[in-house]
Amino acid sequence: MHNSIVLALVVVVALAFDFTNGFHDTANSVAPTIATKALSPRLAVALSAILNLIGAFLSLKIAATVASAIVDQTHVTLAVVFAGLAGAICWNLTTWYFTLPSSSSHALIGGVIGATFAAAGSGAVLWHGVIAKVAVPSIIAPVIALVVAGLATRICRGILTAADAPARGIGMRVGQIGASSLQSIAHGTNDAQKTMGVLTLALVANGTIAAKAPTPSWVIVVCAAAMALGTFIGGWRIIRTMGHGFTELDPVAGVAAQVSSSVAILSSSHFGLPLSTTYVATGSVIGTGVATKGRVVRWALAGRVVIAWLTTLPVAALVGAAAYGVEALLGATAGTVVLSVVVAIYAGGLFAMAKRNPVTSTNVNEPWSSELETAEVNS
Amino acid sequence: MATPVKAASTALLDWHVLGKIVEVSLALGLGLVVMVALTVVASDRATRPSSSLAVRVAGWCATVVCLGAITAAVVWGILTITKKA
Repeated sequence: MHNSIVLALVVVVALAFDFTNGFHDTANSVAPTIATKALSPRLAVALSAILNLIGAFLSLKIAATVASAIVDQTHVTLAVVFAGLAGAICWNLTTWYFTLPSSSSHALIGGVIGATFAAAGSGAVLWHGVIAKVAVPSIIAPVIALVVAGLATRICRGILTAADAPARGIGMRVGQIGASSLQSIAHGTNDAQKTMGVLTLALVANGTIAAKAPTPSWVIVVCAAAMALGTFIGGWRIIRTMGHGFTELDPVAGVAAQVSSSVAILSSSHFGLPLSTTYVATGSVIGTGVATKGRVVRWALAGRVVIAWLTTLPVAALVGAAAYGVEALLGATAGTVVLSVVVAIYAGGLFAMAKRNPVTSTNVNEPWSSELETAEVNS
Repeated sequence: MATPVKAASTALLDWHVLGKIVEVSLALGLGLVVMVALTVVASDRATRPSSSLAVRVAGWCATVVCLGAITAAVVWGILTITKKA
């Protein structure tokens, strides 16, 4: 009975994480498309949601390994999974409130590291994996994306001087929609499966299914639906930052950013060293600004985002560890019930505060307010 | 005896894989953007009323070739998504 309650709460919290993952990461694939008006905001997120849903079903090779190279799997229990998810949700919502794009996957990994550390000590954390699979790629991803997108922008602008403006407009619009669609499919496949993996892990840990059993169909369906719903709701605060905050995007920059992002994400996935979609997308957008003469790049904002990236893992880990501490103190069942309530209150509070300064599909494309940012113009 | 690169890979990261990612991202990223831009220019030339017949034919041929390359890249992308480890 106790296990069933904890398992049910783990399922609910995992789906809540999947939902936040969807709306947090929508910006990665649709922000340039919306900022350049290649698609209307609502249509862009609707298309992305549908493609995320399709992507979630495209490959059913479960990424239960989301934390396999990061922590010793023998210490992963329902309580650890729950605490890790709690840490990830809190970080995702906090960065969403502050309009900062950050990696949902790294938040989840951070939460699991913290919870595992609290449950079994530092020996249960595979520090080499943390450095090799999380820390170093986090530094490299935006740099690769920035360079590729910057070069692509320069080359594309050069070639397109030979075309008339109407042809340029249509071509760049089609290119952006295509690249955005590919990114959405890739996101659905990669990220929905992480939650599927977590849920499968929870079901195995609870003894509900055998260790080698295939993922139940209902897990696949609910995870895909939660991700798609989150995407459809649209994380407008982050979409605005990605589309207008770092730099202003034009259609050529939009194509360069989205094609570069898609290629970097897919090639890294192909070679088995997945880079964070958020870091790649952010690097690409900034790269187009750097490569465009006279274009404003708001480095102060970029700096704040980098700080958020640097703190993602430790903060999510601290929350995950604290959550596990509560579970250990109150017992698994009471602890998860109390924590569920705390997370729900925290989420509700952030949503209520966000309503004071709402960003929606109607104002997502309004000019970035310069008084909020220190703008620097490239020479 | 491990080479310095191998030693570094063991300690921190698989630099060989990372190099491949950089190579492919650069080649495909730039290549695809060039293809998109060339498609726009070629289709523009092919449909301009002032273009000669030869320019139109060349424009359409270039458009088809570029679109073929873009389609191949998209198919690769979808295959990568579906076959991912």
